[in-house]
Amino acid sequence: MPKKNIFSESLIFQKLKYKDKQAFGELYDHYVDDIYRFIFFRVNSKEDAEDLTSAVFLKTWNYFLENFHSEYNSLKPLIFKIARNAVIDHYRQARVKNNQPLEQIRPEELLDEQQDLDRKIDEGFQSDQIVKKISLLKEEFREILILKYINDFSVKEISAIIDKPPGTVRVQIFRALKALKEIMPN
Amino acid sequence: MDEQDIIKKLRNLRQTSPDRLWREKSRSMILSQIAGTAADEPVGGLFFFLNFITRRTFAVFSQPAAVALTVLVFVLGGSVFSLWAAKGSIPGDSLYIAKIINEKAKLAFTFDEKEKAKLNLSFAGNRAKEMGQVRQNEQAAPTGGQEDKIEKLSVNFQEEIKAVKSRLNKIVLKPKIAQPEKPDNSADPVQSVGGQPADSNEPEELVQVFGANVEKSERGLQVAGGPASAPAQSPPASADSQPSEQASNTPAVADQSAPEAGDPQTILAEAEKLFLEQDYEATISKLEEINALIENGQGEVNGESAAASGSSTSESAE
Repeated sequence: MPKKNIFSESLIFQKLKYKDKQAFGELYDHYVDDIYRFIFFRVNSKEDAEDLTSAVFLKTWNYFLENFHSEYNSLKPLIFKIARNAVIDHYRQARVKNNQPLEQIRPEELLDEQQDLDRKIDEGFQSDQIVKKISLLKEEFREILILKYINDFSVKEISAIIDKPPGTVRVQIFRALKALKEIMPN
Repeated sequence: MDEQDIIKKLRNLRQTSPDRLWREKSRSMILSQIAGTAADEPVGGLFFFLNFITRRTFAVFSQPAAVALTVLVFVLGGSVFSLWAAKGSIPGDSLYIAKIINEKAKLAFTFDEKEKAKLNLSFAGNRAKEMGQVRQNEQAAPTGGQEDKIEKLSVNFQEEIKAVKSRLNKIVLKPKIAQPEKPDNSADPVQSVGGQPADSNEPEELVQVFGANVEKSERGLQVAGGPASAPAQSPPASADSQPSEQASNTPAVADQSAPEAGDPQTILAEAEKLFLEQDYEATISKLEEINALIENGQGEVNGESAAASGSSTSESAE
């Protein structure tokens, strides 16, 4: 999915305020993969990740229905905050612990279905290993590593999503990497 | 395993994507769910885009750096515009002070004596022009309240002329021949029109290049020949009294040993006379003549002319 520029994102944002269905479709196409990834590595379940992803988009639509004069100026921090809150609600409802077993995730599910199977299995096992280790980290470390290295957000963007100063975000990234390194096999 | 390896493995997880079939089904489902609350038609049109552009522009220009830049552009642009608008202003106009400040600023940022002299000439020309306009306005609609303006313009004109004379003393264009009686030394070296400035080390004959035929008065403004008359520091009692005083001196100029044609100091004296006679167009012409002489002259600022003083026709390059 090619990245949209700031101008077209702003245009979509404005159109959403006026409940433009077509703009909402564009929003979905642009963010569905990112939102899915963000949720998937937090809940470690494909089905839960799919359900929550759909819920996030419906909640985003409801937000625009209720908030014409939004405090937000752009889509990304808004939709990811909604996603973050959805995951927290999910934890509360399901009472899922941080170290939920990963048997339900098959390694090939971690990779794009377009790739050939052999490569998928091989890389899947490698990815499987790191995913398991990530799940052992505390929630705030896991979240920040996902946002930084999997969703590929900048420190400034992460700061806007999790409501923490950029300096704190940098420190958290450093600590999270260090913690992951300690539990990764040599 | 080092951090770079870990980061690389984390980045590999970007390949994780939802199932394509699920993605399509989910999209359809969500869009059908929102259909009831969505707008009937896609949002667009001129009003929407104008509103959007306005919001985007405001968002951009509310950034601190953009605000600072915009303010700077407006201030500079406003300055340029106001200076342009002030160009034709006369005393009493709201922009006249901007014109004066601009003149003073130009002078302050000019360091070459010749250029300064040219600026003073230009300012004197401005005063002459303004005087002409003020008198014209008074004739067209007599209000009786122009005396102050006339007096101030006259004083300012005299000050500019004084400054030109002082600067011309410092510039050696050509060594001249005529050496009239040595003018009296004034307490104020700046006032010495034809005399040697107190801080000058140049031989008298060179320094007096432009002082020829000019008797120095305490104020240094009067044309040579007659006794020092009305001081220039204090404004003349009235503009009307000046012509008669000057007229008495005018013959003295002619009586002096004839200066060479094209002598800036002489032309300056003529310009002063024409100003007092209220012939402002002619005054401006004379000032322009002096400006051309300075422009075309090959001179050096006094103090650098030790080598040039040896040659009778000092054609030293500028």
